[in-house]
Amino acid sequence: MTDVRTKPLASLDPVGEPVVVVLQSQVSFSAEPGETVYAAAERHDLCWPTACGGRGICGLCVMEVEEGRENLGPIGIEERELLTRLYGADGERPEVRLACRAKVLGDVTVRRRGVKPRSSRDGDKT
Amino acid sequence: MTIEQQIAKHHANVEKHHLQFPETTMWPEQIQLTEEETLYPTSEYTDPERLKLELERVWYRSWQYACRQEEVANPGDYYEYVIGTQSFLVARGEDGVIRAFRNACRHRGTQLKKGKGNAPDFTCSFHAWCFSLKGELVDIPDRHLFPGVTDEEYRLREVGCDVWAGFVFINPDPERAKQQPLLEFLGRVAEDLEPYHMERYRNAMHAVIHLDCNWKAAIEAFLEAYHVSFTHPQILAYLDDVNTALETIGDHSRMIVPYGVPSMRIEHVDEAEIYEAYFNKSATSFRHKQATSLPPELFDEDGTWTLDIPIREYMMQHHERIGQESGHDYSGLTREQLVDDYDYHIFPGFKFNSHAGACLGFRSRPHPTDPNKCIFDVFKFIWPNEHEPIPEPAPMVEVEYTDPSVGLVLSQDFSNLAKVQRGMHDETLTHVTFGSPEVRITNFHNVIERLLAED
Repeated sequence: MTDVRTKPLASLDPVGEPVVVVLQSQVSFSAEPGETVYAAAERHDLCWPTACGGRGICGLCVMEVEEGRENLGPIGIEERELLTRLYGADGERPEVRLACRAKVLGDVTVRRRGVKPRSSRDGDKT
Repeated sequence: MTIEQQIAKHHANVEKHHLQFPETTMWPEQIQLTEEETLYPTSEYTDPERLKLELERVWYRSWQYACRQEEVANPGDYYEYVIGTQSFLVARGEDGVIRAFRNACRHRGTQLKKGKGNAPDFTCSFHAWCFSLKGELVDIPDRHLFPGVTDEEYRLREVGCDVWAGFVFINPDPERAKQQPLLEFLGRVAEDLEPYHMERYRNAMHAVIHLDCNWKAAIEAFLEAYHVSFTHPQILAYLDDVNTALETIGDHSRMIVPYGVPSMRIEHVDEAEIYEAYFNKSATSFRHKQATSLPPELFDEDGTWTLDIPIREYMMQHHERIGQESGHDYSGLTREQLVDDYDYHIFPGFKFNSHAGACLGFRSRPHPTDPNKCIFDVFKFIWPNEHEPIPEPAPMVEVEYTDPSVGLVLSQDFSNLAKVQRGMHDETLTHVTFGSPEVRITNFHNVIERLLAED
């Protein structure tokens, strides 16, 4: 993936909690330790692409971890199987994770397009 | 299409994205299936006697796709087509006419040709009985020893054969072929597809895949978009499985899947993601003809998406431009047909996803004796650049369904099918159940039942 976006990030990070930075979407937000990336985004009223609502079924919340892979909980068998089924060899790369399954343990920087505050979405275009 | 008030909420994206569909298509909510159509016995996928009947009364009596005209381009070119236990030879004569014959020497039955090739006549490898490319008996060694053999009685058995849009169809039953010529059999499907100019297409890939499922189950997997959200969620970013329109057309059917818009099941997708998914993740991405990474010109210096038209419109313009550069005539296509998937099923086992300038074709054929197996062909038919030399047709290759060349989307479909077939054998599962999104499948079954009821 190529990050063509360089704008400053819109930040939603209270002091003391792990921070998730989402490149390509230009947002960051805090997560409670052990909370999944997707759940933390939802809690901040951020729209993260999904068709199953974070149930680990659709795989659309897929993200690429840029930094802090060790600050995410370990990948489970089901998460890896789904990623492989949906994305083939790409899904087998260790930096590819599902936001709805990856638990935040520390600061992490990921790549994912289309993560936006619900209030700022441009519903007419997509 | 009229969207009644009560179902409008299910199809809100039609208005949002200005989607257009032909008046004759329907939404699943507008379709009522009978109980008979809804419930279909599992035994009809597993019973060897049923398979035998389907071969005799459906396949040995129906028009079916055999090969492309470019595969028998020159006089003497022949192409073997096999269905069930029967083998046929499609051949172009010295007069340029394409005919089809039963592939059996009239002497003692030896198959005359295998595969494809070119020959001046069909000479049997056993005793050298010789037949012309028109099927005439032209020579028998020591003919005086066969006083009862007449030229007329011992000519090759010719079967129905005709060409539509570059596709050579045969009908093993010549009488039925006369009663209902190919164009009459195709009906409105032939008219619908005329603007695509598929006669200009070339067979760019032909993969033969042996699947562990019944031939009906295999083709049925591609007759609905209901499975997309769970089997292929990675492509929901660029196609709308919810706003997919359906239509039965006599024995055939179609569905229209909007491309260049995300599924209504997703709250939001960036335009850049739609672009990437459309050009890189589609089973028909082979038709895009150029590198498909995100073009930098679509972003400003801050990395903000700058395209001031909907991405769907951008894709239409893209295909229009590629068509012009390639010398293609898309003047008969609607704007929607430049990007959307117009998916046609031609009874019994042929279907294709039509797009401007290319289509992905599938053909499902029964195993000769085992209802739990079938032969599945995957084709890429591409309109070559008219300004470049026309490529030779691709050779037929046999591949495993797990082969990477099959592609991720199709391998996801195929990996379901063996499980489907195994489940059909469950003693307590007497019927499979179809809903209105699967109306093309119930139409398919209705035609089969009609043909099975004929003598």
